[in-house]
Amino acid sequence: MKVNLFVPCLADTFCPGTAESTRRVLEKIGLEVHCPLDQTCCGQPMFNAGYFDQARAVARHFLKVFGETEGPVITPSSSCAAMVRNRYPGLFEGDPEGLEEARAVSERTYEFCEFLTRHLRVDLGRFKARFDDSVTFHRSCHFRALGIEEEPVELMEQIPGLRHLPLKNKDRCCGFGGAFSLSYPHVSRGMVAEKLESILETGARWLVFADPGCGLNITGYARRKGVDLQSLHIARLIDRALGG
Amino acid sequence: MAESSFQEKTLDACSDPDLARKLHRATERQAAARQSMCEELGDLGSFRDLAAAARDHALSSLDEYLARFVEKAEASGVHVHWAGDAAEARAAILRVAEDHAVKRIIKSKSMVTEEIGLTAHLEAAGLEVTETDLGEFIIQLARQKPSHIVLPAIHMSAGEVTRLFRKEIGYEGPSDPVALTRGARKHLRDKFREASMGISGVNFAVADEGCWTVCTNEGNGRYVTGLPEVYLAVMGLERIVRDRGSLAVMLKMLAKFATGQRITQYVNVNGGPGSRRGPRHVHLVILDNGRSSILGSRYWRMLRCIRCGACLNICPVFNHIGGQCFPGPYSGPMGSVLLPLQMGLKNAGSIEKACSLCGACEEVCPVKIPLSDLLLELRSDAARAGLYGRREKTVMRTGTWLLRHPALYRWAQKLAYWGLKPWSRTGWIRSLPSLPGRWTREKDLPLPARKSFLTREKSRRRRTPHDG
Repeated sequence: MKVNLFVPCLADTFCPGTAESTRRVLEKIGLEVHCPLDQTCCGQPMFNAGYFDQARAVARHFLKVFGETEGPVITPSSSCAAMVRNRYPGLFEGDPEGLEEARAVSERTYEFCEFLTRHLRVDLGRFKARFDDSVTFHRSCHFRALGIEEEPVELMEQIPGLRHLPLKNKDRCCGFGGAFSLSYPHVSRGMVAEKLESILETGARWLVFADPGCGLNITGYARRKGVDLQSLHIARLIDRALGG
Repeated sequence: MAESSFQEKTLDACSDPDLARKLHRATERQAAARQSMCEELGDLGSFRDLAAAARDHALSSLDEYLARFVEKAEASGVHVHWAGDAAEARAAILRVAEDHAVKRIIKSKSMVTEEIGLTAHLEAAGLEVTETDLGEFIIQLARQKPSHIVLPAIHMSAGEVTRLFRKEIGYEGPSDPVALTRGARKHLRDKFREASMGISGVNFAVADEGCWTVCTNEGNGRYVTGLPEVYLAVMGLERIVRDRGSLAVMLKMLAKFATGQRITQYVNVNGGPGSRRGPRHVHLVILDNGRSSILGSRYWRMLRCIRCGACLNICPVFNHIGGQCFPGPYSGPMGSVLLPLQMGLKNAGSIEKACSLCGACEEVCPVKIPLSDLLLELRSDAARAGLYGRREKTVMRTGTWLLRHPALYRWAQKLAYWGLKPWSRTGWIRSLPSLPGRWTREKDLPLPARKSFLTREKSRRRRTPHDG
């Protein structure tokens, strides 16, 4: 099967390794991965700040790039997937042509874990995966918007050797929220401090997250506090488990 | 400027080391109770659909149902007063008090009376007003505003309440909640006896019956609505439900989602004066205060709200700042939508931005209000009105332009790397000026990659031209 890699702009800019791992994992499980080079961003930063016209302009570019592709569009970020799948149709309401283009792409856009579990029903055990350590998982808020519950954890638990230690309030927001963390840095700090405390309480050796934004936020705060936190995006974890 | 005042208040709230702990303790208890009640309910989804449909039905023919309700209520002897805004409501209520030569008033907990600033107005006119709900009583003594729409005093510890009671009501007992409650009760007993007017809010008004409910857990509501000679209720005009069937659904949802109970301890059904017992004069003030214009706007779903506070309990932002920062009596997700609609976006001070859009509130809302969508719409209105300033608009426009031009965008990413490199020794940045400085105030920022993923892909593909 041929799939298209939709690279979150944060991953592209700050942690290319996450995008790299996503591609590698998809290839390792036997998919042909196409990565459109003209992609930039889904427009979520503008949309969440209330600049709908600007978000629509960025979305048009996204739709132009991915409209030319065929097959599933996969992204290692629940918030980017939710933007395209849940928000694009509303953004083009009253523009039948744009709406049609938006629907055509949004219907085949999936978050990475979601695609692996719900659509491919992949069994990582079959691919000689192994990760001999304990992990805890922070569930990004936008899994809620996508209706994804335990799938990412189930995916991790397929990996022999991996011990999952549940995180208290695993689905409570880490305080990133894009522009929110810039508008209310002190509130965001309170939220991420609470998250870090829960993470450390688990005693897990690794924090696993599924959105580059959550990763930047939690690791950035841990570093500021001098806490030695090992963390991995779930795509990187699986990539490692499959032999890097 | 209004924004700075809300922002500043959130700063103060976040620098109070105990506040978040106190808030979490109370809200998590409520949320856990709600959770267990919802499990008991079984098919929660259907109940939420039913509740939302009951609200929507009433809102879709609100004028008709209000007219039916008022007709029935008046037939039972209730004096109905219509108030367009807070000032009209306050004036109408003061007039009732004066007409009946009232000196002392007892109140049960009511957010709508907080909304119109009733107590201060009546006190300024020389009346004695006593809040009889324990939480409200505490914050009245402390001269504060509620920190939560259901649990008004959760920002205070038992120790703080003890000190307050010692100072204000001569309390001499120990510092435990049971003894404190007993102390308040003893103090309030005389107030109940002396008052000649009781004021309550309204949880639901039943159109087919012309009656309304007041739900309380402490029993104070019964004294307020039944003991004094004059009883006055204040309701927002959206509080209507069609019939007893809808009322049953709403009462069930309110109790479960507000406090995690099967049913609120005391559900009083009130109407006109009875022939033998209860108040001799019953007044009802129906308040608009922006509601009818909300109903006619794309924000109408906000009027489904039944003030259960479930969205506050689950909100990660609320749990760190509490309700007292907010520019009105409502707070948390529901307040962040309702206050800008009532006071105007400009006066509400950008509270619609104080949300990470995590969506937890929508998931617990018993009447399925799309709170994130409404907050986004408010942001859109504010951005269009230019309330977010020129700089933000320029950043957004420039960003948009770059994101539509991939080659320039890649160049800007490179520029970001080289521009930020001098600020970073270890691949992380500790301090930056201007807008990014808002991030580095609290967190380290990783240095952008020297080559973004897509730049690497591009050169990779040049090396292996057959790929992709």
